[in-house]
Amino acid sequence: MTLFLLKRILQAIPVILIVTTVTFFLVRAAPGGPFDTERTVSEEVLNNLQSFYKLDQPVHIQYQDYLKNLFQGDLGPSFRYPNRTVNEIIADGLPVTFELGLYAIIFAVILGVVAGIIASLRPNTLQDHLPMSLTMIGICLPSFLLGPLLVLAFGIQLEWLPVSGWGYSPGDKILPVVTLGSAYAAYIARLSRAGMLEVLGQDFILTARAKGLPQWRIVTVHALRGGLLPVVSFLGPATAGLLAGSFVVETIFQIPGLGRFYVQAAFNRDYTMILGTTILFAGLIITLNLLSDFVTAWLDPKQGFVKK
Amino acid sequence: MDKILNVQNLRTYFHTRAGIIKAVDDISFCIHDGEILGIVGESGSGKTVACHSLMGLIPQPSAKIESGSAIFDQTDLLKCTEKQLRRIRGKRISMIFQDPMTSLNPYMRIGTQLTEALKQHTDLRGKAATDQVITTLEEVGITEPEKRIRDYPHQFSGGMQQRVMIAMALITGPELLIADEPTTALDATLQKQILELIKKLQQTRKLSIIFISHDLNVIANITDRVLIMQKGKIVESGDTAEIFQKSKHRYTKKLLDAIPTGAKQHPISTKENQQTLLELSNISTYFPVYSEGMLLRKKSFLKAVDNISLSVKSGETLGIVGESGSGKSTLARSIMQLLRPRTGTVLFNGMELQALSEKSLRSARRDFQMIFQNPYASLNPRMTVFKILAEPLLKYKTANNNPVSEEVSQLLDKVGLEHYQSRKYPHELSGGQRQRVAIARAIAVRPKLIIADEPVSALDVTIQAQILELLLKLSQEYKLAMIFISHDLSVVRYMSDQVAVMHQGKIVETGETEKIFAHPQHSYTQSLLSAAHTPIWQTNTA
Repeated sequence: MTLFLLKRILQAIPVILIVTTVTFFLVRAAPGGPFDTERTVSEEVLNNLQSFYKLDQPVHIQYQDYLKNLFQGDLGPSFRYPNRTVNEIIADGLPVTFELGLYAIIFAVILGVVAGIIASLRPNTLQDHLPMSLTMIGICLPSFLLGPLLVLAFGIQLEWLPVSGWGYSPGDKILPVVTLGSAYAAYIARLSRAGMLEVLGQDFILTARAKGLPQWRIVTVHALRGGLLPVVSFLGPATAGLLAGSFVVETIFQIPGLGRFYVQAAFNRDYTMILGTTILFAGLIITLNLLSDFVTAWLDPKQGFVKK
Repeated sequence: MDKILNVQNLRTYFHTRAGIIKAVDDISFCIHDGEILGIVGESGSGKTVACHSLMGLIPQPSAKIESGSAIFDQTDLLKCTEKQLRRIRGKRISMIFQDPMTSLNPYMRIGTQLTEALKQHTDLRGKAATDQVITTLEEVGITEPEKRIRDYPHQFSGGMQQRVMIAMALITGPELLIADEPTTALDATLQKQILELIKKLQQTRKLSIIFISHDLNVIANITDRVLIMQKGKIVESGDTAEIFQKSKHRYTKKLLDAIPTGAKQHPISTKENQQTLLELSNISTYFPVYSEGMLLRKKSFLKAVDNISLSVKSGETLGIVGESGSGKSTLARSIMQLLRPRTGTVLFNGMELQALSEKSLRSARRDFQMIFQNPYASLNPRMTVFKILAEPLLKYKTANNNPVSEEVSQLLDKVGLEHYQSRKYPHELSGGQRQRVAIARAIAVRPKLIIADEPVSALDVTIQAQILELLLKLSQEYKLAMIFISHDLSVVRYMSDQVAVMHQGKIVETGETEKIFAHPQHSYTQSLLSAAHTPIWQTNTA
């Protein structure tokens, strides 16, 4: 098991390296630079800036320097926010984004799994069709539409919840979490319905029924573990996608998370910022996928994780 | 003897979009104390649905019990609420199923699965429950049960899994056991062991058993009384010995006649001077097995086919028998070059097959074709019968210049299918019809050799008999050589001139079929033959 982990971590290193390299050269190949603004800056100032950030040196030297710093955990200074390093910006924004993502995924899993199980118990009846139609809406509705709609309903009309902010007033975290999580809840509901239906049709469920077990025990003890395997494998990529995609929700609800910096960095040609956040998200995606693979394997006794 | 269960006028209908299917159509039967009652019938005859109806296990709402009563200890099972039924199900009436592999929960330790039944129906908890689990496992013949309760189902072999299933069914001390094809998924030797175990437990525990099977041999060996079911009705019932010796109903006779008996009618003797068509020398096919190592995986080999030499003369049928996992199918695939053997040579019609390039191998394949076990899976579901049959004809451009459609029609005639069936897709055909299509596809290009890998084991006995007749007829008509692979000894005996017995990747014995069946030399062949029971109705009436 430790061997499996070690192997996967070793495999992640070249992936990170490739992501870094490709991003590094792509952003430099894109037209424009970090100091292009509407106002023309004098040649001298520009040269000073460039030499300060070592942009006047040959690209391969810049690349070497960047890698050297990266290995020491230093993502370099931000080009657009003077006096702040990329590390500092990430340290500020990441916890907020993490918190938002974590709540959203918890919300999505609880709602999705419950809805999926309910639907799978009586397939092709109202109990199945109703939640499944709702999930279709959930998948179709983009967050930039759902967010304002929720704000309009619960914030402005009903005045139940604050319309924006993060941690300033009680309940202001609810709307962003729902907005971010509902599409994933819908997807998880569909996955768990399909997974549960498959398991519930298997022979060992008939055995369990023939043993005289009550329905709730058959569902929770015998079917759930196998039925939720597809959900668990989806959770890794879902959480990663959720974190990377939180930009829209962070903007709608004025949340000081990392997502906003990520997108603005791209507009600003903030080379180090783009690189830093990309590497961070790549690392997150790899880690979370690894985690979900690990849990999937752990749930399946045939993979032999439990013993050995 | 008291009646433990009395079923009257049971009807279970399935309400589907295509209309009502009368799966169980007005059947009445009873089972006495301490008796083994057999229910025989082909697939779809309603034997399983009947038993599931009694236990409240039919898929609702599509299936509905229309009428009837089933009196078990003064309660009518059919009128019980789900809650009342749950107190009987698994406690007083238990079930075991066909495939122990899929019938045990793969995610739970077997100890937990057995304890669960106890917790549901008794007051035993903790150590007392575990002790009960261990004694029951011991009773069904699991060695070292104290250790094995921590294992998952996949860590047991098929026969051991079925023992665990039996232990799980019996742990609550039921009065009635419903065994639904409990030995069908097992090899002959295991089948014999499980049947002996069931018989022993029936005697020590004074059990009543309903034993469902399509296998007449098994039924004849184990049951006291038997019901013959066809299309949802009981067509005949009575004492097992009586039914098998002087059955009255024509369906029962048809079933009995369908079992292949005795030797091949016109065996081709080896003395006739024939040309050797296929010659295998020292064929070995290994599968790599990887075990985790730090950076380099450790590689070891599973010797699926281990140093086999065989020869088949033209026009002759070679039967290959062996239990599952003995390497029969791998051997077939190695001959076909679907798997390339590691060592040895396959000499077919003077050509060394391994030496051929992919391209010349493709054109050589015309002369050796294969028929697979499962006609449901081996025909492309998105091609019509016509396309399936026309494809090899067009590919190999057969010598005569008939239009393809005419050739397809001829092929359909040969295998006994109607011409209009060429427009159908495989799922619209029955299992037997599908296997006929598979055979037509194999003979379409007039091969010299056909390798048939368990071609009838997925089929019912009456269909099996028809397909065997068809294969015999065609092999004589086209002077086909055939390699006939089966786990079923009587089928192999009925089909083959020569026979080879496979065990753990090796051929342990080979020779003329009748000689081997009469005087098996190798100990494995002997145990295989003794496991295959001789039908009682043959020994008594012959």
